Amino acid sequence: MTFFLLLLMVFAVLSLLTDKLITAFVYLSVFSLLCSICYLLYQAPDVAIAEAVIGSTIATVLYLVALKKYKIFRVYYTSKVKYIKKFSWMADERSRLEAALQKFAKEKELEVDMIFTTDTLEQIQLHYSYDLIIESEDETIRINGEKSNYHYDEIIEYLNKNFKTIKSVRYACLTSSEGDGT
Amino acid sequence: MTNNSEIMKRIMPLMYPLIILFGIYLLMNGHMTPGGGFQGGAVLTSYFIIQYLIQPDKEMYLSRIIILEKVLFLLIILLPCVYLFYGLVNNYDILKVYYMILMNGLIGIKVFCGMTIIFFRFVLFESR
Amino acid sequence: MMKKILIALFLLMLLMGILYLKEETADQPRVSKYILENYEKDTGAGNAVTAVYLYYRVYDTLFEALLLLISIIGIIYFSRHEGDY
Repeated sequence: MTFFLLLLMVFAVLSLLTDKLITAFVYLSVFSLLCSICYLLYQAPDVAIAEAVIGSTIATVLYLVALKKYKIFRVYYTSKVKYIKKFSWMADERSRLEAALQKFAKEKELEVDMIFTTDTLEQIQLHYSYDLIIESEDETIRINGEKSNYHYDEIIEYLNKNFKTIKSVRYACLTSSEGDGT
Repeated sequence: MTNNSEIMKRIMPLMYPLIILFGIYLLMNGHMTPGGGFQGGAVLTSYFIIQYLIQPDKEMYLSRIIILEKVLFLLIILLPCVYLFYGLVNNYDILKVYYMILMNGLIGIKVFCGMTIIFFRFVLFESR
Repeated sequence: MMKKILIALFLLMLLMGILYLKEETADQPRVSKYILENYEKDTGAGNAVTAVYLYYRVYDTLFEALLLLISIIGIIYFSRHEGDY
């Protein structure tokens, strides 16, 4: 009995502390299952059946479907250079990166929302909800994303695999700040 | 959800009859053993969820289920009104068990319809 | 930070209060005693839970069914888009 109650606490804390939502859902599902075992040990089989079916199966499937249905992919584009020459080498590189992103989105059935701003990286991080922030400097383009965003790894893998020719891209992993609220 | 895993496609058709049987058992034996209307209905709901996981494109007739659910609610209101409040409960002992089974069945089918509607509304109509 | 500590203290006091209340009311007679003694004779069911929610607390069951119906109406209303029925 005490063992199961301790496991409940462990899984509750784990589901709070994980970075990715999808892992948190799996932990919550295990939490529900342990919860139903606890009800069974308290001799309430009716509640145990209801908890096992609702909490562990239907709620998890609904969460996963909702995660899959979230389709808008928000990309902020910011530049450190004041004047961008129109036919420079960088502009060419940038348009190729954009095309690659669009192709990735088409493959994953996402909708890309490109936003060009003059704000700096820190301002965007503070004030807006984002999936990716692309920051172009003199020689390189830096793609910033959070590790907890579950498309970030996929994008890096995709670009490495299919678009090796874009030489100037660097990746940077942001750590999510505490008061983010996103 | 176009690429479903092979495991689901192979295993879940074998699980169909067992799940339905377990749900009906919970409904029919709810007055003697643990279980009852709500739990049985929730178990039966997983039938359509599995169907969605195997064949996402299969056509659903949600409007019929919505009408069925409303009719069942009316029946659920009517049955205790006739049986309990009219006073039949004190006169006929043999009706007691039938009342339990009938109410459990009605509640189970209503919960089944309701959860199916909620699930398919979220899955098919959200985020378009 | 101060606010969080205050909230934690408040929750702790609430927990102590609930434990104290539970000990206060443990010995008093309950409805459950009556139900456990009489449910088989009253309803003819073998399961006390079913006896409670189909006989002793029928209103609860009826309004729970109504609640499910209303929540479904709400879901249908909010997930409606153009072109649906």
